[in-house]
Amino acid sequence: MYRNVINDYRSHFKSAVKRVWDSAGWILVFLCYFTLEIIIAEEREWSFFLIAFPSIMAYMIARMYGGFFNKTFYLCPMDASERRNYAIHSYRLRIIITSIIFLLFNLPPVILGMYSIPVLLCRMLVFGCVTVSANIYCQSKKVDNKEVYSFIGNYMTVNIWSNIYNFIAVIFMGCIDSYDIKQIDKGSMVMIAVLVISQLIVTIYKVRRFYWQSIVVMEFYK
Amino acid sequence: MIKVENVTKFFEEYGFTLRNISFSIPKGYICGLIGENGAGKTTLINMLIGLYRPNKGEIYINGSDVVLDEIKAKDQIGYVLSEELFDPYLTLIGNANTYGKYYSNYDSKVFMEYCDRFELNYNSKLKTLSKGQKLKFQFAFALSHNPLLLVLDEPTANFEPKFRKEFFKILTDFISDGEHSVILATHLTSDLEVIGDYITFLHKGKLVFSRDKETLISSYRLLQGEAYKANTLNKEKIVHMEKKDGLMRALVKHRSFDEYDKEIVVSIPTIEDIMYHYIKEDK
Repeated sequence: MYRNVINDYRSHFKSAVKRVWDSAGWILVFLCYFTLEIIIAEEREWSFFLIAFPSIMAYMIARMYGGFFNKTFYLCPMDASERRNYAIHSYRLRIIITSIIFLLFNLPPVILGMYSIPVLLCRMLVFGCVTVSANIYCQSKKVDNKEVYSFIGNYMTVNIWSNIYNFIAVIFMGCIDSYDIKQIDKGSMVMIAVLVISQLIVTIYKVRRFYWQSIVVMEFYK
Repeated sequence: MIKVENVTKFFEEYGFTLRNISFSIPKGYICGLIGENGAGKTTLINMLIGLYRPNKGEIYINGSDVVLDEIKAKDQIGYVLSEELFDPYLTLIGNANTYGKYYSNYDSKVFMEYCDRFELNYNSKLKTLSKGQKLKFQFAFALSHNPLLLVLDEPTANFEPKFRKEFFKILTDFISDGEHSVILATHLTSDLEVIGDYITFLHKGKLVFSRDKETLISSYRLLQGEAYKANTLNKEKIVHMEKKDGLMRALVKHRSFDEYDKEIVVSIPTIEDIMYHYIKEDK
């Protein structure tokens, strides 16, 4: 199934890019991150970039491929369980791809001694929450020329909160350019701990509430 | 080949319901699906190809339930829909291979042969094609995986006359072995006069009739004459009558032993005549 998903992602790359291009939201994400990079990060641009770029990629890839099957796909000889399986594998693949991007950006600095493994682990935790929650995405379906969202419950509220926590957590983690966690002052440590724990709680809630819906919603066209 | 049993589909957001549709089409025939705009043809087509699930009832394609045995049913269906499908940024062959891999009998060589026959360059991107060419591409793809049933939603209006002839020839050849069937939704009832075997007529979400064409046409007569001659007609047999400028025009149900006033012009109606009068009668 991974092979099918990879081949389909590769085939549909251009139309996936266009889908993101057409939805202006990604521009806002880029602007927010890089404005804050200039204002807050100051000399820490490299550190900020190492976690911000993979996070932006997580959101973009979620919107390029996530929560969406085109109409032709529903006409192919697949049943609901196969489509569900496809959706699960494509979700996992998006997380794998963005995690690889994260490691490609963050392992070399650790190897070069620019920051320590505990700092890397903290970044991985924050980034893990970002990519897991960004890919639980309900893309609207155009059914008979009408936009349809299919999640039941407070998805919009939870989504906004998870994005806020992701955003703030990435900013704070990006500002840590210290080699070791022990070099960070206690006040900052407490703030980071509170942020990361809050982010974790919201992410776990979002996954438990909406992950299975995000899969099941793609089983049928109508 | 096709069996539709008590199928109902309702759309709350549109206030539209397709209600209690039942009909069957045997193998080896072409069925025309007719009806005015909004009658439910596309909704029915979308249920036949497995895109919509009926709220009630069952649909069987060659014995396979479209909902419960979805893979087998869809593997046997080739479709041409009057809307944008497939990926516009892929080439024709790219699209065919991307989606064809899900079909058990897909053959890329057959697809390329049909593209050559339809004068399509299979290395060109789908978005560069005209509307008619895109439909030809869908037709080539539909034929490339050797389906048992072709489902066509109003394709012919976009074909040039030369290709229309070839299109009908392909359909006729397709059903000639008696194992394949076609369902063709169309506004061009003149096409069905030529190639249609069965006619299924939908009106406002309901099935008016589904019959073989010969029986259908022989069951009605179109009567024209002086308006006062309407009194000579059996009112129970009149489907619809219109009077204008002292003349009357009526569609009546007919049996072989029925006779009519000598001054009334009796003719065999076309499918369009039958459809027109049923719609007018309802209004």
